[in-house]
Amino acid sequence: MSIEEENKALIRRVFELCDKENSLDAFLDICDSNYVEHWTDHDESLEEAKQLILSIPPISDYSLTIDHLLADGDKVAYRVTHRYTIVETGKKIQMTNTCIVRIADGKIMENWVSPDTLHVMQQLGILPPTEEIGK
Amino acid sequence: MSTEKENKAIHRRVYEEIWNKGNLDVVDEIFDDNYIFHPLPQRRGPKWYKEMYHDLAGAFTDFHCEIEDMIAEGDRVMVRTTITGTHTREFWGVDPTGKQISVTEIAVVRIKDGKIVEEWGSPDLFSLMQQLGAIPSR
Repeated sequence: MSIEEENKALIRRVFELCDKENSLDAFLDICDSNYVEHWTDHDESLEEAKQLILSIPPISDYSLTIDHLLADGDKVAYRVTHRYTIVETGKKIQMTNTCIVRIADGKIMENWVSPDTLHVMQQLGILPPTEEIGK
Repeated sequence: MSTEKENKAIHRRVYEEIWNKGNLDVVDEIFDDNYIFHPLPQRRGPKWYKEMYHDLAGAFTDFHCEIEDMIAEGDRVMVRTTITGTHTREFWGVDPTGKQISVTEIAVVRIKDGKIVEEWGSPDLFSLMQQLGAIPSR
C-alpha cells in the first residue's frame, strides 16, 4: 500500500471511530505530542486543541461525515461535516471544517485548518447573518 | 503529465492569473459553463465567478492570493492560500476600514476534462470579520 493509501486509511478509520464513539478522542489520540494546529492568526498546541473541545457544551446526536479525502505525499486533505444537537437548547448545529494534515509514522504532526466558526456562531444565534454583520 | 499535475496547473492559474493579475479571460477558459460554487449552489457559471471577483477585488485593494500548499488526487485539488488585501470599499455591510487583512482559505475543486466544474470554498470568514472589527476579537 502506498504512503498516500496508508495515510488516508488512517484518517478514514479515525473519523469512523469519532462518528461511532460520538467523540473526537480517536483523532486526538493519533496527534503527536508536538502537534501544531495552524489557524489564520495563531498556532495552537495539542493541549490547547483539547481545551477548545472541552469548552463545547454537552451535545447529543453527534455524527461525522467525510465529504472529501485526498492524499498527496505525506499530507492528507479532508473536508468533514460534524452534526450535533446542543442538549441545553435543542439547537441543531452543522459545522464543516476543511483541513490539511501532515502525517509522519502514523501520527498527525501538523494541521492547517479553515474553521467554520462564523457559520456555527450564526447557527447558535450569537452572530447575525453575514450580510447583516456590519449593520 | 499525470492528471494530478495537470489539475494542479489548472487550479494554480485561478490564483496566479485571475486573482493576482485580474485576467478574467482565464475564467472563461478554465471554468465550466455549469460550474457550481458550494455552499451557494444557486451561484454558478463563469459569469457569476467574475461578479465575485469584482466584489472582492473591488472591496480589497491589492487583493492577493498566496498559494501555500496544493494537494491533488484523482479529479480533485485542494489548495491552501493566504488572502491579503486592504479594505477600501464596503464589504458585506462593513464600511471601509482601511485595514490590511490576512485570511486563510482552503478550497476544494473538482476538475473534469480540463475545466473546473465544482468548488467547495472555505475562507476563514470569522477571522476576516474580526480583522475588520465587525465582531469582537478573542
